[in-house]
Amino acid sequence: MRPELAQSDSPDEVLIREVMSGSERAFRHLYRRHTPRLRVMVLRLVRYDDADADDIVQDTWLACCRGLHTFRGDAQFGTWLTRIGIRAARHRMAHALAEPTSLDPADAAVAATDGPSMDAAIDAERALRRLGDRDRIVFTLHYLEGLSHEEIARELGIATGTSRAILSRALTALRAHYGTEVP
Amino acid sequence: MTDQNEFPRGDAERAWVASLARASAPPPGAEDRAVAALRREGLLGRRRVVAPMLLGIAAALLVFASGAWVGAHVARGGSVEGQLYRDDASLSQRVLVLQRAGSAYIRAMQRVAAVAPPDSIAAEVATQALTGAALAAARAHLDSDLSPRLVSFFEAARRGAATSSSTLIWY
Repeated sequence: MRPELAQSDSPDEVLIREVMSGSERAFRHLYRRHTPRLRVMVLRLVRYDDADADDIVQDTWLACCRGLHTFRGDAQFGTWLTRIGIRAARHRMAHALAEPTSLDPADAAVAATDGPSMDAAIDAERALRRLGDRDRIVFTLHYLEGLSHEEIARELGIATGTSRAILSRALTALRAHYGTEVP
Repeated sequence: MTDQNEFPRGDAERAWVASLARASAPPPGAEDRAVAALRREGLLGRRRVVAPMLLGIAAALLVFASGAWVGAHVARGGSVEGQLYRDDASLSQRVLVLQRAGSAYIRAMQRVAAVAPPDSIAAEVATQALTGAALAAARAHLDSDLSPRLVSFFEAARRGAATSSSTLIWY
């Protein structure tokens, strides 16, 4: 029987099956579908360093394809890929995650240096960029990727309480930057 | 009381979150580099070509072997030898096998005679087979008195022939 040819609109499950049988075409479809979202998350995790982000994205896809036979479909493929991306980024950001867990007033001070005068889209990203590494990572994973504090704690190897504390600090810094609300 | 960690809180914060980028296009060539890396690891490309080919060869071999086995089985089951060892054959089927075996014996003897002038070994085999058949018929009591008389006749003839011919080991 002729194998099913992957189409750009084929469901993830179909593309995954074909990638497992070695289809480059299916991989390219899967890559184009999921990489933009993966990359923006990774960029936020690695201080917006493009080179690091691209290395991590490639490492993520390699790890993903190596372990594709373990993907059971319990979660969305994009969610599964995101978790792999977080772990890949964690290696690069090990030093940042090893920072002391106590609140660092410097983070809030840095965040409060600029006023909300820029274009909203750029300003929003800049505000995130000005957060400390731990603050930005936890904020991104919790509010933008939807991970719970327990999941963040597991992925980053920190305590659940630490995750909550870091998030509270990040919000305080962002709100201090913009007043009572962001922005 | 308001949860300080509630986010986004209010329209301004919701607008702020909405303005955050949802995607970031990879640089040109990143996709090709990922494909090349996966090819180097053997995760893409090779298996797509090799696996179906191997599967096709395996399927062809399986079909051939199955066909050969079925063919041999059918041929063996239809032969006299195959029919001889059937335990589930009825009496009429067994009589038919006996008839076919006798016909086969006669045809075999005629074919020997057709390709070579009769020699002592051919005569010995023909006589032994006929004598053996007569003996088996007598022991099985398949007829009243014809078989014993035939056996006596052939035994006497064989003893006379044995003095002038080479010995045949009979299985």
